[in-house]
Amino acid sequence: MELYPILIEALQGIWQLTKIIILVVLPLMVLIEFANEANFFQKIAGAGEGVLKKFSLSKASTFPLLVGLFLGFNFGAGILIQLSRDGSIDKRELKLVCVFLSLCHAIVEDNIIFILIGANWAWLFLGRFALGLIGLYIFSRLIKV
Amino acid sequence: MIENKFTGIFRRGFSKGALVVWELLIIIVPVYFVMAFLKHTPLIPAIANACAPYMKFLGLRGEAALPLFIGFFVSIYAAVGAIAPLGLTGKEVTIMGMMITTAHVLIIETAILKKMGVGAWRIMFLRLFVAIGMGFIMNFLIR
Repeated sequence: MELYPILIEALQGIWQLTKIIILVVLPLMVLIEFANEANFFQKIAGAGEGVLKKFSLSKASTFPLLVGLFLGFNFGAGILIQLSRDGSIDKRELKLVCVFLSLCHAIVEDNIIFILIGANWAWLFLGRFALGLIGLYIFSRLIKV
Repeated sequence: MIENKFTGIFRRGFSKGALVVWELLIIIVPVYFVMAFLKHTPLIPAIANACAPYMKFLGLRGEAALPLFIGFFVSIYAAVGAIAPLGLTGKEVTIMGMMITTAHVLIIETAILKKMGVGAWRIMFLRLFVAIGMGFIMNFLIR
């Protein structure tokens, strides 16, 4: 096992990956900051309400769903814990949102990193989101209480 | 003034971005490094041969088993660090991406679910089941 060429190969690979991570993540975070300023996420929340009714979820779920979808599981869960303690959502709704978020969270952040190493974006974004919706629908029928 | 607000947003986004890049790299780089060396030792081929018959159903090669488990039990970024040096095809990376994003960091996330009392174990098995099922399905659907 020749150490030197392996080292060079590893360093080159790391450099390529680092370059692409920086070139994608930095502009993306700036974009998200602009979106925050423009209250973009609040505006989508309004549009989401109609969809939520189809899955028998209340308006209170909008925020944790969005947070979990875009920011990540831990943050979405944190909000859910708070809401369930306040009594804003019941046990059933909590379960449903958890099923959705477990299957489909951080849809931008998690997937981007795989896309950067060569995965197909359509499958990851649309496929995962569809999985989340399917799971949500099935469980909204299965869980009555 | 508008210019100040603009640069303020830009600066905030940039500094948040820098933090995220740092958090990603601090995990990916060491794992990548370790995998890049390990792949030249007999360890990886041994794991690969052992897992290859099962991985075939998912359209993956044997070596992909290790990053897969890393994704399930450690973290997404560690898994990416382990996948990157292997030189997998686009189809393989897509399948792994789907499987790992569906079922990752299972231990921590299941612990959080447990705290919420929503049937954490069932959700964990659901995710594993869906992940493996999707691997199988995608193996057929993607050329």
